Amino acid sequence: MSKILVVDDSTVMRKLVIHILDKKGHESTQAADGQEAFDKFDSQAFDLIITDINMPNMNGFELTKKVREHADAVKAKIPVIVISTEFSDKIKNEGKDLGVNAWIVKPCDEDQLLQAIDHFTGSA
Amino acid sequence: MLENYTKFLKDVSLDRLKIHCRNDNINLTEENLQNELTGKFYTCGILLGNKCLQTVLVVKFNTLNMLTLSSNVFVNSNDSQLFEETKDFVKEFCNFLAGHLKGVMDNAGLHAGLSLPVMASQIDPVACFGNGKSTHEANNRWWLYQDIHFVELSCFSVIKGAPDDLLKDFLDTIKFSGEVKKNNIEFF
Repeated sequence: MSKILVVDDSTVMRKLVIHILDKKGHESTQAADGQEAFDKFDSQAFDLIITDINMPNMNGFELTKKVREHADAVKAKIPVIVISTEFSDKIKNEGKDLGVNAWIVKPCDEDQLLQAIDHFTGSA
Repeated sequence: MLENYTKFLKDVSLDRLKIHCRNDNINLTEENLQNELTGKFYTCGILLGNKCLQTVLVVKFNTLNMLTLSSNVFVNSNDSQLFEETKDFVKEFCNFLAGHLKGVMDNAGLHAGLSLPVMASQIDPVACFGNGKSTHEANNRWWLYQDIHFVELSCFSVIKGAPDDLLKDFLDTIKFSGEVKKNNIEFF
């Protein structure tokens, strides 16, 4: 069981992802934008972040950058999985350069998401 | 010049809505289904483009129609949540649609920007772009429906100035090739 931070401005998308995580016994925390997510990341311990890119206040790339620059070197290495409608090589390379660890294109497939989580946390 | 592009948008909109609603029984028509306004309508708009090609996509819907089209999705929601979640669902659909188009444009070397989707109620959509004379424009409306339930899509596209060869080639060749396939995960 892993503690996962789920970040998306869409309530429907967050519910979908959390539903998948709940079925596998993962503990999830939600955030509706990057700033809210970073505040929670800063004050709590997580095993993984799952984030959208295009969000108000702070987008997923800005969140990833801030996470990677965190003063706590252990926290800064947390795996980040992007789930986004964006799929171009340009944007994926941008994410990779910022420290994104995996990319899933929406609509989110349950098996793909669980495979990605297992890859980083070892918890199937 | 925008005919292929507009057709592509229509085809992708149908494909994306079917996937988003988990409903293969949705169809597309250009026959006006909007005989009379009933209930409360909402409009969700999203802007996409670059300095040369600019598009406004608008989805107009009422919550009853949208809920019917997407009934396979809202199985875990209670009644008090459905109203707000339906609007959120349409915003996500706009993201899917415009996001796919942006990805296609990016991969063709035509780097495009994308706005966040904006929701409004019963307001005629007005889109204004910056300076520059448009050389081509296209204004289209179509409906995605199942039985008597539908959503209306509008698309207004303009080309500013003289399109370069890259854009001309993109507009000449863009074509929907079938159902948008699921993408594998990519690990970096």
